[in-house]
Amino acid sequence: MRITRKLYDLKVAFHNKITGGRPKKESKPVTRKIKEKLFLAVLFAYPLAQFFVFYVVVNFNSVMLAFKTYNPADGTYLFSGLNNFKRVFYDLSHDSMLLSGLGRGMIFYLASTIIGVPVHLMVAYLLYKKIRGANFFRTVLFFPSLIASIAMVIMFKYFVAYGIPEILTKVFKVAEENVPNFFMDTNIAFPLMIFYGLWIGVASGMVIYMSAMSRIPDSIIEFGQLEGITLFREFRSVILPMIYPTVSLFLVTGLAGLFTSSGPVYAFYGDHAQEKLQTLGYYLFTRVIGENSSFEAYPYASAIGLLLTAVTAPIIFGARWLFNKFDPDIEY
Amino acid sequence: MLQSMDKKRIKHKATRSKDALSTVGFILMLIYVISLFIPIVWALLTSLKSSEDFYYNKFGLPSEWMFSNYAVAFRRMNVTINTGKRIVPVYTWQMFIFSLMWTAGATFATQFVHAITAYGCARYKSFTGKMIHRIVLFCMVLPIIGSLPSEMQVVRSLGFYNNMIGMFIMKGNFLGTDFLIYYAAFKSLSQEYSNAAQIDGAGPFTIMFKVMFPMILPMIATMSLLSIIGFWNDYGTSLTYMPNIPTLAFGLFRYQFSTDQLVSSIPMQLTGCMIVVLPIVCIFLIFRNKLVMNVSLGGLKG
Repeated sequence: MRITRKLYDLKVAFHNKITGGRPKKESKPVTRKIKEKLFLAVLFAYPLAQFFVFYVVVNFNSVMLAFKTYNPADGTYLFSGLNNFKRVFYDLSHDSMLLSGLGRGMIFYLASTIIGVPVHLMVAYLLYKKIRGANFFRTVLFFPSLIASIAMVIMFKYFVAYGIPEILTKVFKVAEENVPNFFMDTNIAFPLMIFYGLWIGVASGMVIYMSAMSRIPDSIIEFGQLEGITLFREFRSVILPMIYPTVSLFLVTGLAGLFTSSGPVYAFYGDHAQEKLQTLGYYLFTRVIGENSSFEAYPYASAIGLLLTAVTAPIIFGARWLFNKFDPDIEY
Repeated sequence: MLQSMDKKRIKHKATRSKDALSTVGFILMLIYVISLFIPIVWALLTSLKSSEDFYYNKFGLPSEWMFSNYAVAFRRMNVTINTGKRIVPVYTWQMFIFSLMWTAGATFATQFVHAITAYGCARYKSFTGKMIHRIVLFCMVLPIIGSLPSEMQVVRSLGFYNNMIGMFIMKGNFLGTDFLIYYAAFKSLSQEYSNAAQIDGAGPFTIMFKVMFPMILPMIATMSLLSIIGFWNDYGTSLTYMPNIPTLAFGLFRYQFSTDQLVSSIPMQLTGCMIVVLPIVCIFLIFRNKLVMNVSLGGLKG
């Protein structure tokens, strides 16, 4: 103890000898300002440069690309005016694949919104009301977001492809030739893709709403209970208005996938999905990445992307405006 | 007296309806959880079967517990890559190393850039800071569709294609909810700490790294954990930008379509799944309280 104190005294004495015992001079406000600006310049330099290259340049180039055509002779892109857009409109009116792909994408989006969101809200409410085993469910429901999506896809795929037929033939005595081919028969495969998205998405959607519900003050819920409101009324008149900002934010940002939702099709099928399963998002992706991609398809894909952005952006801003208009604006 | 009886009746009614909800909810949730775990448990058991055993016995316990499947998958299962000069096999153990490198580097890049940018915006009043904050909010709402071809061009022209360092640079951006979470955390810290450090002669970097960052260290740790889980499971980046540096998750994706006798075996593919899943499950079991309790949209408790 004494040694430590002596060492400390020595340190103070040494410090006083160097500085003359004066406290460190505070820098003048002007110098401090300059230092601050320099600090911020250093701090923001990389993030801003990164944003410029990977957001501004990428998107500017994307717009430019939509007006160009690939020249395979020398691998360059040449300006071609509105040719890509004309082709898109032509394909939309003649190529049923593009149009049906657009429709299938919208089905994915609508299923996840119309069925998915209410289910997520219901599950979140059940856990919020601390039903029996709520803590256990809360931990267990974290698993799907933990497991690699591709691993989950493979486990589900093989279970359905090999496990379910076994159950059907051995337990339900279905003749082998009557067992459907779940992934090759598109009449079954497409609803299966929708089911998979909803089934696996329960946990991730639920987490968002449950955390919003957990921020509601207990006193408000207790007040409602003293007034004798039913659970349904509590959910509709207390919980929903209180978590409105979270729900509306989720719905508005989700609109980005209105035309390009693909569900888990690529993860299940890679580059080899049957035409009747392909969505527009899938179609665009596979023109740029994988076995069916080519540099030639880049401008066409960019043109479709640009058109969809032009359609989706006003829808999103309109929806945002609408949601804000009906916002109960409750502060707590 | 009458009022008190009314209250009692109301309370009794509320308790009864909550009990009914609790029972129905419990049954529904249990069915869902069971449906969720059946394929996982089935996959785990299948990963311990031989191909022959799986052919005859799809649902029972393994006739012989093939723990050796894991060693075989680790050492011998592979995907091939085309380097431009030749076709080279990349084995599971190599993909495991790529996954570790990718997860560590990308987590550091994203969390570091998010944290320092949010710090600059939250703690200093500046035009650039305000602008960055608005950019983040704007980009979250504005949908940009179909920029992938252009991104591929930019990535290729910068020499970042099949380049992990390049991908770290690309991932190290300030957009997204992570920025908002860090921003809220730094904003909530008292100015007194930085003022005191400043009086003691600390420079802005010292204040940032030695005073402010340690104050939100638990939050940084939770965010990093979530990021680690995300990047470990990410197969999209490898698929899109670095197919010649396959991570485990990307390898798993490719195993599905392989024609190689060993790789196309169902038990072996499910063994591959388990190799991807098990490290993350271990991390989850160690940090489960921190992860389950602290995650919330727009804010993480420290």
